Amino acid sequence: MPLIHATPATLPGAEHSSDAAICIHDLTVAYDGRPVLWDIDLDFPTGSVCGIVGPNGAGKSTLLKAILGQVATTSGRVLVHGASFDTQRRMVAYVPQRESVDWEFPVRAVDVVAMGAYPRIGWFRGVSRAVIDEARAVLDRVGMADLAMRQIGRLSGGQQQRVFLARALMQRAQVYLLDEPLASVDASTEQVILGVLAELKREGRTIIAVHHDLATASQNFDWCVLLNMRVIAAGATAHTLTEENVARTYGGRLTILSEAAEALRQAASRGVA
Amino acid sequence: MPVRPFIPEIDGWIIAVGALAGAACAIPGAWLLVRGRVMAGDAVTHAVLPGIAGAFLAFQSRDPLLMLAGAAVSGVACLLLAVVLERTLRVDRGAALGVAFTAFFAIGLVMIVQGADRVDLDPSCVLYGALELTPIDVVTISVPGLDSFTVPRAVPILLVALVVCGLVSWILFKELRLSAFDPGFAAAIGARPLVVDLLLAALVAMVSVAAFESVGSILVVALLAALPAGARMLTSRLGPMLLLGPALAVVASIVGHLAAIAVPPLASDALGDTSSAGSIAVVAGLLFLACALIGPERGIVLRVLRERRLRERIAREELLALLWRSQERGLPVQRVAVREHFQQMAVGRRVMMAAINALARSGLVDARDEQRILLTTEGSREASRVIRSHRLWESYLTEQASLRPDHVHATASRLEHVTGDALAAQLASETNATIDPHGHQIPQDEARG
Repeated sequence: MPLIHATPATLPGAEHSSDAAICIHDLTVAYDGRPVLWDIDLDFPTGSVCGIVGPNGAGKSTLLKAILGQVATTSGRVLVHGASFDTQRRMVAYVPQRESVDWEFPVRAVDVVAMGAYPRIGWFRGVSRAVIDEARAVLDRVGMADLAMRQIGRLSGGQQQRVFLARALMQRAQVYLLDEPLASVDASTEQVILGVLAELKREGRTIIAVHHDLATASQNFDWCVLLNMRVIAAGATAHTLTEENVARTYGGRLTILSEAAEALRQAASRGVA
Repeated sequence: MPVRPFIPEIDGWIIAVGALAGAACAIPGAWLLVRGRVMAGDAVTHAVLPGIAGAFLAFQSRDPLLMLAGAAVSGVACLLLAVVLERTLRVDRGAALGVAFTAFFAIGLVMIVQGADRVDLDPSCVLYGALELTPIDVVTISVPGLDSFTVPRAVPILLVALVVCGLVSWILFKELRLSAFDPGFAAAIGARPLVVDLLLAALVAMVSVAAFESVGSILVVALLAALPAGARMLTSRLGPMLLLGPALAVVASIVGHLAAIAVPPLASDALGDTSSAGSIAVVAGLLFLACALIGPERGIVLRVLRERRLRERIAREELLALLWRSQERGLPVQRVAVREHFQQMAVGRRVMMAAINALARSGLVDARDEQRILLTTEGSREASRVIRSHRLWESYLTEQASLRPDHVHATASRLEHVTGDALAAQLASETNATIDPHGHQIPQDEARG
C-alpha cells in the first residue's frame, strides 16, 4: 500500500491507456485486516476476451466484486470506460457464480432473465410484455427457448448457468463480468457460452471471466491475468501463460507474501495495527 | 360440560380479526420464506416488544402509531445490535440474532411487568394475545355521508397493515423478488437490496405491532412461518404464493376458532375459557402438513403415486422384455418363469399381476392361457423398443465408458426405462453398434423401418 503517489500532478489512473474497458489502479482489498488483493494495477483492453486465472483463494472473485463496488477497498480506484462504476453501472453486466443463489426459489427461467432489464424498467414499474418477449428471445439465443416457463429448480446445472448468461445479455452492457461461467457445465452448455462470448467480442464488447481451468485458458481467452493476491502477469495470452509465470502463480514463491498477510491479520485482530 | 354456542356478533368478529391478522402476517412471511430468513422475521417480531412497552409507559396510550414508532425503533436497534455482534465480535450470525432478540424480548417483558401497575397492559395478553376480547374493545368509525360503524378496534388496524403489505408487495414485486433471489446481482445493477431488506423488516415490525394485541407476539411467528410455508407447498410461483398465504389464513381462522369453541374446556367449565389464537396457530400448522401431503409438486401423496406409477411401468416393460427375450430364443414363457423373474427383481405379486392385466387389456400380451403368456405383434413392437434401448446402453457403456461387458447389464436395466426415443436415437448415432456386447442383435427402430 504505497503512501505516496508517484507524481502529484497526474491523477491516479490518468497514466493508464485510454482504450481500456476497465482500469484498475493501485487496488488493495482486505478481509478482517488480511489483504486478499494487493496493489493491483490492470487495464482490461476493450473488445477482448479476458481470463482471470489463479489458484483457489487467489482473490479472483474478489477482484470482480471490487470492480462492481461490492467489497470495501483499502485503497485504489476502478474506472469503467473512463469513469467510476457508480456512474457507468449500466455498461457492466454480471454473471455471478451459480452456487451464489438458491435454485429452489419460486421463479421461472424467463423471469430471472428479465431481471437483467430491471435498470431500464426502473423502480415501482412492472415487467412489461415486451420485456418478457425479449427475455424469451435471449433464452432462444442460449438454446433454451422451450424452457422459458420452467421453474429454475427443474433445470440442469448447465441450463441454470445459461439462464444467468441470458440475464447478463438482457443488460445490453459493454463489459461482461463472469464468475466461473464454465465451472462444472456440460459440453453443449460450454459450446453455447463460448459461442455467445465470441459473438459479444465481434460486437466489440469486453469480456472478463474468472476461470478455474489453466489447461483450457489459452483456447478460451485472448488476454489473461495470472493472479495470486497480486498480478503475476497480464497481457496477451501467448505472452502471459508462460511456464515460468504459471509456476510463479501456482508455486510456492508467494509464501512470504501470504505470511505477511497473515501477520497483518493477526496484528489487526490484536488491535496492534 | 358446556359447549359455548356460536354467537355471530362475537364469533364473527373474532374470526374476522384472526383472518386479518393471519393474512397480514402471511404476506411478509412469504417474502421471508423465499429469502430463507424466516428466523430473522421471528427476531423482529420479538424485538419490537420493548418499543411497544416503552411507547405505552411513556405516553399511557394505545395509539397504534405511537406503538408502531416504538416498535420500529427497537426492531431496527435489535437488527443493528445483531450486525454489530456479528461483525465486530465475529459471533456466528444465528447466535448474534438469537442473543439480540431474546435480550430485547426479555427487556420488553420486564418493562411490562414492572409497569403493570401504571398501565393497563397484561403480559399474558402480549404473549398469547386476547383474541376473545377483541369484540369488546370497539371503535366507532363514521364515514361522511354514510352511517357510522362500530367495529372492534383491531379490525381497522389489521386492515391497514394488510393493505400496506399487499400494496408494497404489488408495487415493489420485482424489487422484492430480485433482492430475495439474488442480492449480489441486485447490488451490481443498483437495485439497493439493503434498502429492500430494511423495508421488509419494517413490514414485519408493522404486522407484529398490528397483530400482537389480538394473537400475541408468539403466535405471530406461527402465522408468519406456517401459512407461507403451506402456500409454498401448493405452488412454485411467487404471485400465487402471496395470495394463497392469506387464503390459508382465512381457513385457519374459521376452523381454528370454531374448534376452540366446539371443544369443551378440559379443566374448567367456565364459559368462554378458550384460546382461539392458540387453536388458530395449531390449525395453521395442520394446514401446512395438509399442504405438504397434497401439494402438486412437492406433495408427499403425489410423490408416492408418481413413484408407484413408475414402478408399475417398469414392471410392464420388464415383462415385455422378458417375453421378447424368450421369443428370441424360441421358447414360450411359462407363468412360473415370470413369477421367478419378478421375485428376483423384488417386485411384489400384486404389481406383477397388475402389469400382466394392464398389458393384456391394451392387447400387448395374450394371457388367456393358464400356463403361458404370449407376446402379440403389437406387444412385440413395444418390447423391441425396450430391448433396443437396453442393448444400446450396454454397447454404449462398454464402448464409450470402458466398462467390462459383464458389468453393464444392471446399469442398462435401470436406464432402459428412462430412455426416450430421442435419447435412443442419440445413443444409436454414437455407438453404431448392431450387436450388443453379449452378441445379441440390437433391434432396429421400427418407427423408421
